[in-house]
Amino acid sequence: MNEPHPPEPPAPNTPAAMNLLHDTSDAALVLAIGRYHSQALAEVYRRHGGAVFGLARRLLADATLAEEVVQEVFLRLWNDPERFDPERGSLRSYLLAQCHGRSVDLVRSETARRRREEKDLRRTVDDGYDLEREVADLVAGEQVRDALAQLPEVERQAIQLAYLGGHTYREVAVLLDQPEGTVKSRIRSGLKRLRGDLSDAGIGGRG
Amino acid sequence: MTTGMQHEELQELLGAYALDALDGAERDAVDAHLRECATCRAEVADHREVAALLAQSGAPAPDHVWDRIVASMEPSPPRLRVEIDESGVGTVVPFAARRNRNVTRFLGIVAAAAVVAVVALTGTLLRQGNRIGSLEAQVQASSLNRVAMSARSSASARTVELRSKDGRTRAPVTLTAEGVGYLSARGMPRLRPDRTYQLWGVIGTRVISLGTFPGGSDVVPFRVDPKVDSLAVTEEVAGGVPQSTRDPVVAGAV
Repeated sequence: MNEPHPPEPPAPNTPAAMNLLHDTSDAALVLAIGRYHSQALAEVYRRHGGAVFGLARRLLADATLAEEVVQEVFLRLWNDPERFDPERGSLRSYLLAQCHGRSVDLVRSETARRRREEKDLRRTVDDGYDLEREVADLVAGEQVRDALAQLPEVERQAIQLAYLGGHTYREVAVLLDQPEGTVKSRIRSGLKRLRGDLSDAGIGGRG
Repeated sequence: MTTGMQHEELQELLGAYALDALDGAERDAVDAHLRECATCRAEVADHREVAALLAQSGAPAPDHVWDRIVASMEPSPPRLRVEIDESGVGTVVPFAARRNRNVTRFLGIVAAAAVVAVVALTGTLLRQGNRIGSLEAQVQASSLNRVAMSARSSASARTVELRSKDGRTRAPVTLTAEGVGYLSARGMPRLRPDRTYQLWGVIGTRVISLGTFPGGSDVVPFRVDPKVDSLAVTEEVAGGVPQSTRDPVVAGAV
């Protein structure tokens, strides 16, 4: 039996994909992906691809590697949609967690580390490396920025270095010249405080 | 170092864990703990939601990356699946062609060829074996059981039993006069995630795939031609195969 040649699915921004799927919930999109609806994946990519790419590029400091991670994260959703459990959080945080884990694995592998260090060095030389500024660029919502700004210094720095810098808490402890135990608990207490502040502001709730 | 860690010590690590900031041994200890502790799982999920807010980016995702994703998206092996709408009319959707909506109208059994077909009653009951959503499965297991029960008690329905060679594994099947079958798979062994059961119908010398279902399934619905003279279930690689060369796990005459 001849297998028909599969035509390309529409690009994520075509009207057809947008009209049909714009109002569909993330969870329903994942169910549709389970039924091999490629347009549902296109819509998920349209919604969350930018954030996933932004995080990977931030962590890897390398657009090519970041693109590979993005590709991997979305193909994984396509191949194993049932790994996403809507009971356990939003699709966005699931995709970002996948992206973060994979990026950090790469960062911690030797070659990528070397490449990144070269990049970091170059960036520091070129335009003055400034974590605070980068984070400000990356963090979209004003409320998130505000909530971050209200965190105690050590908590904020520890979270930023771990999440956006891809460092282990032990590395963060060295970078901040703080005891490991302090950093470990500050990351946790900072995340809890952020969550409290943000849900007071009406964002960041689950589902 | 991490063996015998107390719950509180582990809890202290959850923030760093959620940000992938633990190394080997500690991460493994938390992983192991999370498998057993729903409270800590929920905390990690909360931390990840917050972290996701830090990652927001205004820039849209690059189009050329999407092109590469599309290029790698090909499902394999090529297969058909069947969707049956409320009126009972089935539609064969060739997976490879579904993107241009090139569907073929279809009634009754998948007579086209011995290609893998997945039967989905009213669109959702059974999907490609390795894609059964646990979410959906949970919601529908109970209603499916009720449907199967009422089918069994209907006067026009027949019940047959598929058996393994040694007779130890049994899977009862109820066939309604309308050509819908319900296979009760509870007695069948569980499978590795990369394996699937595949159901076959035999009409004369033709062997036709009726669909795949994962190990651990409860009631499996399928569409079947009334002319079918026997049914068999084989164990195959996930996704199913066009033609099986394996001995049936269970089989029986209808």
